[in-house]
Amino acid sequence: MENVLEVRKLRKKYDSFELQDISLDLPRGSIMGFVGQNGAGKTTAIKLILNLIRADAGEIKIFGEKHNALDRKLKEQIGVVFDECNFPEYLTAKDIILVMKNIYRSFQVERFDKLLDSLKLPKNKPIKEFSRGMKMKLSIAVALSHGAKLLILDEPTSGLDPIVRDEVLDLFLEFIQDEDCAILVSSHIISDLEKVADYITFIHEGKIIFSENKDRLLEEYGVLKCSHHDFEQIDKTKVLGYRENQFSVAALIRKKDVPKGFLVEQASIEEIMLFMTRGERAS
Amino acid sequence: MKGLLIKDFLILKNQGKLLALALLVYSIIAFSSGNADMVTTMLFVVSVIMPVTAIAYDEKSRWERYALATALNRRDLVLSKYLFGGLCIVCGMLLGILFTLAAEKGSAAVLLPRLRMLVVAACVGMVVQSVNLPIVFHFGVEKGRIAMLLVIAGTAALQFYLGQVGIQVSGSLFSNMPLVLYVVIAAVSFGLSIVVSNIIYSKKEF
Repeated sequence: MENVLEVRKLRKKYDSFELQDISLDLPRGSIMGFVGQNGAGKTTAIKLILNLIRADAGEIKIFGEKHNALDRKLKEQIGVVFDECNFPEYLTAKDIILVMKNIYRSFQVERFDKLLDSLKLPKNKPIKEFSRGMKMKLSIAVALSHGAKLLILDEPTSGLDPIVRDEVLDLFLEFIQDEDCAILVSSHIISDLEKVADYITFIHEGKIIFSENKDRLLEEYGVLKCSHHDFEQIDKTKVLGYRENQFSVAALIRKKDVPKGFLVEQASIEEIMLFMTRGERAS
Repeated sequence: MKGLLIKDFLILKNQGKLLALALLVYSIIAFSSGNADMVTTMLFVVSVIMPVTAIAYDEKSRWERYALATALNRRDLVLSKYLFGGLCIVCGMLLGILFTLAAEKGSAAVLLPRLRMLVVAACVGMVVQSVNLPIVFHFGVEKGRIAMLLVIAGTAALQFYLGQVGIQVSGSLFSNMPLVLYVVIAAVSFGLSIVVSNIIYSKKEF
């Protein structure tokens, strides 16, 4: 499967934070959820991909072309939404058409108009009078209106109510119907990504913990629940993280490593992340 | 690039009511006194600070970060602000000429030096923008304003010091300069300033 985005051993060092050897592949026709807690490095990685900051090391390829060749033609094919609306607030949606059609050669006014109608966004109202949800929908409408093949979205659903979030997720699913397209979407709202993502990349303290097919993740990992006594019998090298209370222990484990006679429950993406980062490790 | 200019002028349009009101008040004064100096001074000041105002709006909405993720590049962003600044100055100068011709009565011998002054003011405005824009690109609008004040204070201090040591910078030296030299100085300073701003901007992280 051809990759729309390839990132290899990307590094960026700041005084108080370091992004270390970030690698990921985003295949054509898929949505990748980029997850991690606030400050984990999601936005820094996205900024590196978009050439807004410079990497200390590593390689990025978009549509097979090297990152430093991020020319106009290539950028026309990338739709971007950040965690806030970046249009000056005195502008209206009508003004945005005038601006964006002179920025993107491929800006489709009709498509944008249709999106404004379907998302119930007013054309002549200044953006400063929009709610946060409306602002985000406007940003997404622009990203979907210039024939982009790759959407890079940084926390597009944060701060939105569940109904607007659902509307936005539907737009992503509609976009991905074209199998040439792909989406990299960062979020810390795991439930959103569980709904739409094909791949999950989990970043923690500047390092990629895993970057996997979502279904494979759900198939591979399970939560084993047992007594303290039973837990003592388990090979601790197979335990990826555990939590214990007075009565029992819950441990994240690969299903293939579950000893006979033990039962495991399905692990959610959120549980996998929590066990891997906050769970205790057997020494 | 065109899209960036349109955006800046659309923002300017939103300040239009305030500007139009100021222009109206100053026009009344100009027509009743027969002297357009106040209008032309206002036009000069407004047109010189306009690109910095546009950058302030960009900073507020974090537009630059977004714009650089679109089909635009860093050079487009820098150049658009110089073009916007230059266009504001040209518009201000043309309006100033219109006001002078309409409000002031007098022979060509009286009007011509006044029109010359407007062209000189436009050239000075371009030089001011040439100094101001790289500072604002480097420090941002808030710190840039402070830095610009320091530049102005430094220039005044230097002039005072030169006066103290017996070197007089004569005003007549500038007033007798041929107009074309003003235009050349303005164009060269704009060009150099664009080069400096491009270097500053290429190193910026968003």
